[in-house]
Amino acid sequence: MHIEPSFTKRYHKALSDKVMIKAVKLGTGRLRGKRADAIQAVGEKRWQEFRNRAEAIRLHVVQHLDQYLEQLVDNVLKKGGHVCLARTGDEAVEYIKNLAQKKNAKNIVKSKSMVTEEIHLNPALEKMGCKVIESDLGEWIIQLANETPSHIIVPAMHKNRFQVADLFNEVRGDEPKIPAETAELCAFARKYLRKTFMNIDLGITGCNFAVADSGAITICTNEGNARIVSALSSTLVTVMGMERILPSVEELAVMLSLLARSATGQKITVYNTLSAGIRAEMELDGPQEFHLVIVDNGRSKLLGSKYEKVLNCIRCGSCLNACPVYRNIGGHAYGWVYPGPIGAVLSPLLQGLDKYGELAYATTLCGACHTACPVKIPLHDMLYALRNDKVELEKKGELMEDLTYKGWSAAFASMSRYRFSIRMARRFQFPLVKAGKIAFGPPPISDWLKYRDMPALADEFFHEIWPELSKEGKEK
Amino acid sequence: MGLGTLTGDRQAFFSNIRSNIKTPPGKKAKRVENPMEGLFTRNETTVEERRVLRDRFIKEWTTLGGQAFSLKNRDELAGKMDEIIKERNIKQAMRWAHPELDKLQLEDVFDTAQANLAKWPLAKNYDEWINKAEAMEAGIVWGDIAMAETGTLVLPASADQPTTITVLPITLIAIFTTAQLVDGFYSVMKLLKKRYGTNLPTTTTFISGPSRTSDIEMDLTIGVHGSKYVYACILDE
Repeated sequence: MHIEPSFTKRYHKALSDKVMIKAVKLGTGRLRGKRADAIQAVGEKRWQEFRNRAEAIRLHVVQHLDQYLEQLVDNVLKKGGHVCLARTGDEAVEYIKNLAQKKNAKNIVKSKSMVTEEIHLNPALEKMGCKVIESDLGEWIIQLANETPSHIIVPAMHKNRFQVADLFNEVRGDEPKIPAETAELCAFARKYLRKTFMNIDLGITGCNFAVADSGAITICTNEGNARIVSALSSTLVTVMGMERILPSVEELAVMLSLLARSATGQKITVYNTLSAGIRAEMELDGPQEFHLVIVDNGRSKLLGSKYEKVLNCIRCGSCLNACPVYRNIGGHAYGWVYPGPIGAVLSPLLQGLDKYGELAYATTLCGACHTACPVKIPLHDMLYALRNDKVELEKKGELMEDLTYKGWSAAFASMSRYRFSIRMARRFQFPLVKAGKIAFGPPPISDWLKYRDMPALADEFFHEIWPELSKEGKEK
Repeated sequence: MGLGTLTGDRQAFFSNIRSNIKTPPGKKAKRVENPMEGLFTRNETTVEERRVLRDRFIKEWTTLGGQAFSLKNRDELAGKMDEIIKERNIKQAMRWAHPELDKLQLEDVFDTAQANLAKWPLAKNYDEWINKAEAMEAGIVWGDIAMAETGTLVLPASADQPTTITVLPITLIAIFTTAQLVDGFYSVMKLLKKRYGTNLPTTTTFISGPSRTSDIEMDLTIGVHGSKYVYACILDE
């Protein structure tokens, strides 16, 4: 049973939100343009070499995930860090809750992390009385709005500056209101969030890439918030999806170059921080205690499956910007944490086809997501495969649809049956035809006709006139 | 440094992964040999070529929103530092305890400009140094490695070279010579591997320009968290 409200209701709601649609179109348009400029600067041929190399790197890593993760775990432990191997989101949340309790953490400061959204970490920590502050500007905006991210890279893409100003002015309470000017809004965020950085009881970050051979964690931000969290937290937790790993810094160089260009069209993200272990002797900043939480949460079941390549994803968000569906409905209509084509694939795979199977239809199957993907994940093929899986899962439910497709399959399986069917359809279509088009019909044809034109069957079919035509050709 | 602890059933966690990887060993994708080969420039450079890299770095760094200067000697550096101190109205700054910065006698420049330059560590106790560091208007570092292709500083941390100095102040000033310049990622990663092997410093930061965000209406804004003003002073080697 799909989740409520259904995808249909969710996208109808999205389509009626004009502010959001305008903001998403503006945002995705700009990001696509910047990415295109970046590729042009690199050169199309070299860009494809980057993609091929990245795909090969990710494919190798995913098929040797056990080896690289074991190496990572050993290296983190060797460097004095602690590791939690969480098979489920709940296990990860439980570990972090226990740690927060042990540290008597009241002020928890986070940097952007999709996996912590996935395991619903913030509400769990807030429930036990912790104050959790998102330090990435976009994440902080949606935290104040009590919403989830609508884009992987720009979480508050759906909001305009007036809405942001309203949220910030609420935080300011009785203080004079700040105008809806981006520079002033950012200046306020800097001042407000800076105070929280000075008193971090527990810092939490995500992980763009772990590096197996050195036990290092790489975090990429343009704002610099994650490195403030890392530098100023005496206890630091990094939460990573278990596939976000690379063998060495050499592979990392390739991925950092691709990630920045694909995500925002930059040559490189402003801050790339590689953190390896706890603070060394005599060092005064950096974590004294480091915890790496490696989250499976359904990823392992994708290994070896036809969906294995989805684990290659580096969360750049370029498939979202390329997708005509995402660009028209925004991120929240997808219903879970990950929006866009990657979300339409990941949500049913990680949360269940029964709950999120509808998302397999949130696509035009145009393949723009595949073309945009820096690691060449065939997202459109996966969406198609998910449709098949959904039909298999619900086979018993749709009798009419089942009979229609069975009849279709039987008719198209042999030339004589196909020609007979066509003749019959042409003969009996006349009550439904108006001005050369099928004007009405029984379900499911009636549903189709609500939004599309269906031409009536032609008086003569190509295969019927071909023998004559071919003769004419020979005579000439 | 003691070993960390592991939570969770290691054997079960990895057996589950192993049993799910169904690709037979012979059919698994092989590791890409030399993953960076052919994707990045990789020049062994001469002094003259590094001067070309300096110009490239300056172009990239400036495009990113920073300011960069080519300086012939310590006197020119002193003059430029004085300009920056005045331009940003810096009253107090902190710097890495790096031997190359020691040689430049920056404290004299600050004294002349009636500003204060503190050398790390500011204090031993956290509460004491964090408050002092937060009040600092500029942080000065030695640009250990500078990547020309992207206009990037690569800064390995240590007890004398803390990340905090590049994290907190609104102004960041990096000083280095053309000898620190490399062309691109290929050379940087090879250099890191040569220096540290797999035993990387606690933190290695790649900084390319000032802190930026486009989180509100895709409107680019500088300095939301980290440095808003970034300067690179490149001395001729």
